[in-house]
Amino acid sequence: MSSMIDMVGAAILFGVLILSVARVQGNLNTTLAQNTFNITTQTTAMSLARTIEYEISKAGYNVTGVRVTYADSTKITFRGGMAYGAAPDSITYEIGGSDSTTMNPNDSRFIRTVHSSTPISQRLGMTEFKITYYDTAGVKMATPVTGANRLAIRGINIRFRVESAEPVTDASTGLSNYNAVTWEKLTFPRNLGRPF
Amino acid sequence: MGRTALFLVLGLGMAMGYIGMQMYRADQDAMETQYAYMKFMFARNLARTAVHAALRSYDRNENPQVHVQTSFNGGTFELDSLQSSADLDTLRMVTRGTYAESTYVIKLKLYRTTRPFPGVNAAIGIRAEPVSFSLSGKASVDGRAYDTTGTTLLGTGDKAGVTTMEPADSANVATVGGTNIKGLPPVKVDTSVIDPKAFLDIYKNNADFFYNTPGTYSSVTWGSSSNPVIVYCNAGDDTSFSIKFTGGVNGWGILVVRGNVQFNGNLNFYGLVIVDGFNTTVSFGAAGTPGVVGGMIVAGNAGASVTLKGTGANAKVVYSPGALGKARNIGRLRYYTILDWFE
Repeated sequence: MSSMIDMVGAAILFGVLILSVARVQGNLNTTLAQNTFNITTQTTAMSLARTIEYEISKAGYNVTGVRVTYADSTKITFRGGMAYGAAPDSITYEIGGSDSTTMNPNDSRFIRTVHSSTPISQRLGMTEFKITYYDTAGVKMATPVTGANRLAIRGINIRFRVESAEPVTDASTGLSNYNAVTWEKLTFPRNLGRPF
Repeated sequence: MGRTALFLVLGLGMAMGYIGMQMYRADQDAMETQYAYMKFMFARNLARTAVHAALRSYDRNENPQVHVQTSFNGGTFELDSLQSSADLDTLRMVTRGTYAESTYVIKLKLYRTTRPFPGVNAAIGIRAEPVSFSLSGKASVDGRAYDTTGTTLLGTGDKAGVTTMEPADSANVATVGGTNIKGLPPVKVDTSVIDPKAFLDIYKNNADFFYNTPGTYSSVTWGSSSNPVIVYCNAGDDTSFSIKFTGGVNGWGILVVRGNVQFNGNLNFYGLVIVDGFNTTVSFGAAGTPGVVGGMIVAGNAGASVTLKGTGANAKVVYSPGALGKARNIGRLRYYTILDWFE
């Protein structure tokens, strides 16, 4: 009789243990998924930030005349030598169409064009891309900046938000969230103010 | 049963440990991503700091040191190379910032120049009309061009001794000064004397010595011949000589006095003296040998007064393009235009 009670007790304990482990496993999977998306999103954002910083800081380098050739709130084209002493390249950043290949309903493609080559459409999970411009007096300029006003651009503020392609659902609440990283930086490319 | 439970617990422990390691690794990856970006930013800021440090060295009339690492904010910065044109108007430099294993290099070319300067084409340029002018004793004004010490005539570049805004004032100054005013000519009308008001805020904000309370000052040294400075005295509108300099005062650079000023005793100032105020009075006292080598601008309302006395042979204002040139090139008044900036 006592061994029967032991077996039933052991079965109950085992069942409770298995349920607990399953719950823990579920939470861990969610956390791991969050971490994975977190790393992916962060890496994507940092990589894009480094690219933008690298290129935007060279805007106007080795360029005579207009340095920012197109300046709108979601698109910018600027010219600048990307290597020391190099001839200027033309670089364009713009937000593209909606990315239908992900579960995220808000993300769009990010399009980067170097010279007049084929635009590179990147699936970065970008949900926001906004550019603002500041003139010689540090005053925010109305967009699009056109004509001779482009010569007055001294500061370029770029803000973007990158979100994960898939949502992470909290098992306990059932709520879904997209991991996101927002990056914003106001850059004053030194060569934009050159006197010639 | 007991053995089974033991294996179960051990198995659970190992599974938890494995999962924990996975989570730790994920956290660490996320942290490293952020830290790598932070290192990059720190290195970049340090490289920029190296540029600023080099320029501030020039401002202090020092030569920036190449290949000298400076520790700052957990990293280091240094000047990798520095080349300048003979007249120092073009600077090429390469700077390096290092933070942990991140390194950032900036290569740049700058054009160096000075801010606009209120030139004076005379020993004393008066921008007030009419002006009350008196000169007595051994005081003298000499518009001939002297060297930076005010002792040797250059032989070229002579200017007027005193310029005024009106012919009537000019005639009065010439009569009062007589042979104690020398120059080419001794006195003339010059309406182009620049109103120094536009420059005063710049000098005030960059002043090396600032006197904001009325009083009498003596035994002070402002800068040196190789390191001219800006002295700003805010005397206010008190007409009873609220700023007095008496004895043992030596200075080089730009001396600005807002209000009234009295130079007494032994004072030697080499550079530009600007006296500006509502009812300006400049007085060289009867005692001592006050002297200004360079040039002086007196600006103020109608009725501004210039009184030159002085018993000593050195009680004088002499024109010196060299002393004015040094004042123009005060480090803090330089600015830089970017010709090329690669980072």
